[in-house]
Amino acid sequence: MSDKKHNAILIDPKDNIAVAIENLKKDQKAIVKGVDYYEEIPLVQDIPFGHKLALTVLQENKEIIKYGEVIGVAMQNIEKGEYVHDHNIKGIRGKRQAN
Amino acid sequence: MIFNGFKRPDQSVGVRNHLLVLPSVVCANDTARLIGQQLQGAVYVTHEHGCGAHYHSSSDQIRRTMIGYGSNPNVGACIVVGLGCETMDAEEIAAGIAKTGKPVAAIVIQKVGGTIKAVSQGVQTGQKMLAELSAQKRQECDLSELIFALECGGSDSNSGISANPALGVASDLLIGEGGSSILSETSEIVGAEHLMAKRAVNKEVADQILEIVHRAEQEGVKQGLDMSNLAPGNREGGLSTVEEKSLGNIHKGGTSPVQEVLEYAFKPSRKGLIIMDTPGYDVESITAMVAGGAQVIAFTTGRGTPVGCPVAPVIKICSNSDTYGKMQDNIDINAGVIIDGLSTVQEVGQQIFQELVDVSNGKLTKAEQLGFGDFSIYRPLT
Repeated sequence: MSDKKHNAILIDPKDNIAVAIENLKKDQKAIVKGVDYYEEIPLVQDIPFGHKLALTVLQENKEIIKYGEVIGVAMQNIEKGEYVHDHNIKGIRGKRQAN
Repeated sequence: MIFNGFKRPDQSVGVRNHLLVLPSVVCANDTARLIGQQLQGAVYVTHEHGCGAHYHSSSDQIRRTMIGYGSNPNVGACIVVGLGCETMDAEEIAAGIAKTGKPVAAIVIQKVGGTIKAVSQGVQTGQKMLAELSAQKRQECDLSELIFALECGGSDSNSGISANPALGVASDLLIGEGGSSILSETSEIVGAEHLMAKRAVNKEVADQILEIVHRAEQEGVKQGLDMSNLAPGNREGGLSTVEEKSLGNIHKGGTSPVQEVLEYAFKPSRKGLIIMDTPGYDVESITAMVAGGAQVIAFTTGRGTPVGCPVAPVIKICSNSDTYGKMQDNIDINAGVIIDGLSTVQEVGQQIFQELVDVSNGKLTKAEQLGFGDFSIYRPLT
């Protein structure tokens, strides 16, 4: 464990995304902390405060996990450290299913 | 635990002692307003409902909400103002409220002969009611008499990490004291219903949770809604999908078992954590929980909101320090300190619980200080 102050958090050990707790800039490192978890991840894009970043490579159609539960699926391949939001993930529930 | 509240004839307990002026129909709004404005200490509401030609279930829901609202223990006395030709008969609404034993009057504009006479009669009646209410003293009451309405609005990605789990701690503390909490907004349980169903006290309640969520989802799809299309503020706040929003939302309900599932504006028959089936609109949802008897509302927000309730205090809890800094005039508690690493979910939960006790004892919330009283009844489409 490092003493470096974290700027992103892992909510549940099963999660594959972290949440930024300050505005993070491209070329900066996300310092992600969770229970028994610590990782420094170089960022590919800016991540606004409260928004999500990928902790691993997320292949297209991969389930996105937050709070240890499914919040949606990747619409495209997402790199580690990439910004995760409604441009590259989508929810599954509450909409007309494609025929 | 003890607090000082107002004991009502039906054994319920209020944290406020309001005189409510309630129009039974949209046409009586301005007359009700004139009565309410003349009486120092009275609150009045306006709405768009009450005329004829409602579908049956819609009329039932509106009538139930109006009677429930007037019956709320925070209302010490009530004046119902009607026009005379509407579906929502003012005398019938008043009779429904009068079952609580509190002073209630009905004034019908067509019967008394116009607005000026109706206002005159309303003000005279209201003066007598205010004299009586103002002489009532707070008495020792048990915290187990409280129903805490759990609301959220303008959520952001922090809500599920700070404000909502802290509110969940406060809700569990109240339930530990024998009290109740109501979790609402069914469309914001979509994607998290399996977790709530697991916490149901029995299979019947679990099935009801799954059923109301399925119904809300189907209804939304039928109307061509895409629930995943969140409000712009939610998206700017970092929420990407309805599942993400729901999973954050349910933290408001803490970890207590779910005792009962209620339709819109019904009164709980059990103590503990209750789920009420309401739409995902803040004011319509709060109105339903208050009509169900909730005396205090907790309202978590990420983006900030000024919403208040005419008859019940609304404790606003903010998920992040940035919004709190900008909107302190609207927000009571900053749960952003959890994100900042300055406090824990448990500590802020304790703080919210203490605020609930203080507010129940009479401390005014920010929304009360500003005199905010939002009111809206959800009318089902069928």
